[in-house]
Amino acid sequence: MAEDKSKLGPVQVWALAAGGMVGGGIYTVLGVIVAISAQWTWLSFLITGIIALTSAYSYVFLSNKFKEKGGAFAFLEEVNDHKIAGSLSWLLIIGYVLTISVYAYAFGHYVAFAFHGSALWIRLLAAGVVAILIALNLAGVGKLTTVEIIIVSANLLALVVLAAYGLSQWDTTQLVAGIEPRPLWSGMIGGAAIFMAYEGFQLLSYEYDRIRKPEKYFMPVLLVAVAFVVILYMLVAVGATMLGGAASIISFKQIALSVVAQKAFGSVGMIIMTLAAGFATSAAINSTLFSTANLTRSIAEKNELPAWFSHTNGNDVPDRSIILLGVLAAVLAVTGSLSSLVEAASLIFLCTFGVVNWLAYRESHKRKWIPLLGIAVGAATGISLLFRLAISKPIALGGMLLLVLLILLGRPYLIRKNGSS
Amino acid sequence: MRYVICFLTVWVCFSACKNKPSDENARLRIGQFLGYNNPAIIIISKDGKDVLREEYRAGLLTHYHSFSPGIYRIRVLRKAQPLLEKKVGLGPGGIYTLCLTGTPLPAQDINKQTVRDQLMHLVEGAAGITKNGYLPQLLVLNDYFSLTGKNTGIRFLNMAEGMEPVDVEIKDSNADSKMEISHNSYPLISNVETLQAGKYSFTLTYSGGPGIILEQPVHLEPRKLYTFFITGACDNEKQVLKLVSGSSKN
Repeated sequence: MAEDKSKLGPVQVWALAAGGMVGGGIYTVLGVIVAISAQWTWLSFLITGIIALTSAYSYVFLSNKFKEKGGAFAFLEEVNDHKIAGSLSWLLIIGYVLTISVYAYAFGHYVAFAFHGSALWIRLLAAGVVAILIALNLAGVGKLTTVEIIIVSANLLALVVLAAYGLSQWDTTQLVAGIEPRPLWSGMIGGAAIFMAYEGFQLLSYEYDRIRKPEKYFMPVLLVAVAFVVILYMLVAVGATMLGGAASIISFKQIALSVVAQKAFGSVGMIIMTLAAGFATSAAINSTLFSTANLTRSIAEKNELPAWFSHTNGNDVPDRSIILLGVLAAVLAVTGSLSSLVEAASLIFLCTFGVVNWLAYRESHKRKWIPLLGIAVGAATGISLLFRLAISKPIALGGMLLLVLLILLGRPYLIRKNGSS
Repeated sequence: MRYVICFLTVWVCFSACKNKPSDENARLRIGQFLGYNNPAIIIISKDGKDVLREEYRAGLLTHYHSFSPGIYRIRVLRKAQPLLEKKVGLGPGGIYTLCLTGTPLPAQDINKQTVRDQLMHLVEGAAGITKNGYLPQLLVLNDYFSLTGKNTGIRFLNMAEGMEPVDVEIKDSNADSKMEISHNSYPLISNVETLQAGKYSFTLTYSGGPGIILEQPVHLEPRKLYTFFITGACDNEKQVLKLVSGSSKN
């Protein structure tokens, strides 16, 4: 009974899933997507929301079927596809590092904007928040579920009010203020660029063993959480743009929501939004760092990563993984550009969700259309993203493809070497 | 019930702090930087009616005009030849600069674009700005800014097509401190840099080159955003480039 009480109930699962997505997502991607899709930004969120919803279904379906925590890596291990499991897990870890870097980047920009900090301050804050969370994790503080739920609730409340207030000031000119109206199809390219805004829900698949009666609650709760976030993103996209105007959201894409709040409500609005963004991004960094480090340890324990990664400190924390992942993310946050980080992460998560949807399609006997829909929309979105990267960031795309090639070729070599030693 | 109370409380807080723009109209100024000193006729219309029709000489930055919010059709003509046409939204309280740049061809099509420019607009939308083969293009700058106290903001926009990227060194005449905004390449705008209001001198050099192209003293007032357009000088002027500046106030 006591054990059951310590488990995550439906409300907690809902809050963690919604917070995991909203935590860094909307704060960082709005400016990128408005530049591409303008008045069709809401459609971009809807298109990618379909992938998120179908993937959430597939994640829960496979978690319930295998009764296993660990997400895509664990599912592939269950179906004895060790090669893909290993390669995908490496790719996924890179995706999480990119995600943490995006959150840290957003944290630095939002907090520095509140006191008009310089570029140096932005970098110091981005690196500083990761350093503090590395230290907290090493000290064994780890995942602060209750604190996270409080932060998520406050964060969601601020966003819901901002969206509702923006919609109450209905003015469609603001959706294209200072820019040219965009065609309908731009919604697809916009969605492709920011898919990472939806990745957070799948961190719950790493907590499967902590969820109360997962066979009963996990599916409906996760689907409701994802649907809520899809609707919230669409409403925030329209509401915030109606308050701030498209041009300002694009010009200040790193701090779009703070600028909107400042334009609409003055300093008080800006401070509230800065607090919401600061807490939300730091909570998202913490939960992603914690989950990724534990994933890295379990992958290393299954010999798909060098044993070096499974080392733990006195608090049973995978210290080397936490330090390495955190440092890599901090370096990327300090040196990278927002859209490059977001798009690279989006590409990795589109691949991962595609694999999970494919597994669910293969393993299920009914409702096969759900993962199939996810695969179809995901493939179209992935092609759009590759097309966009090939034109606007060919060097970054080349680097990504080289990295994938290195993983596919280098991983077996490293594993062999690791095994023989 | 708790959530509804929280929602209403935050709503009331936000509503109480609402910023009502003093002027709900949008403000728009025009920077005419078409190459080879081409004069251009700019026609701005809304719902089929012309609200502005003026001929502007090259190198001119106008004052802000006031427009009621809405979606406008902007046309640019050289004599009777249409060069550019674009629809742009002007939001309530918005503040923008319409920049006209590039060099028209003798008998070019309207909105002539290179393939690269077309593709970049396809995938990047409003952020997809390219050189467009130095062909004419209309850029819309957002002049909204956020500054406090005695701070002032500056940014540079290279409108000199065909020229090398330019570095700008900014020296404070009192404290002898230096700042550099480097590699301003056509037709991109730099980030806004924040400075204390006061007297400064700008030194322009080609990126990586030692030779000074232009030196200019400036006086910057607090809480204003200064945009400096780097343009080609006229044939009868001594220097190669010149700075056209304009200030914006929220």
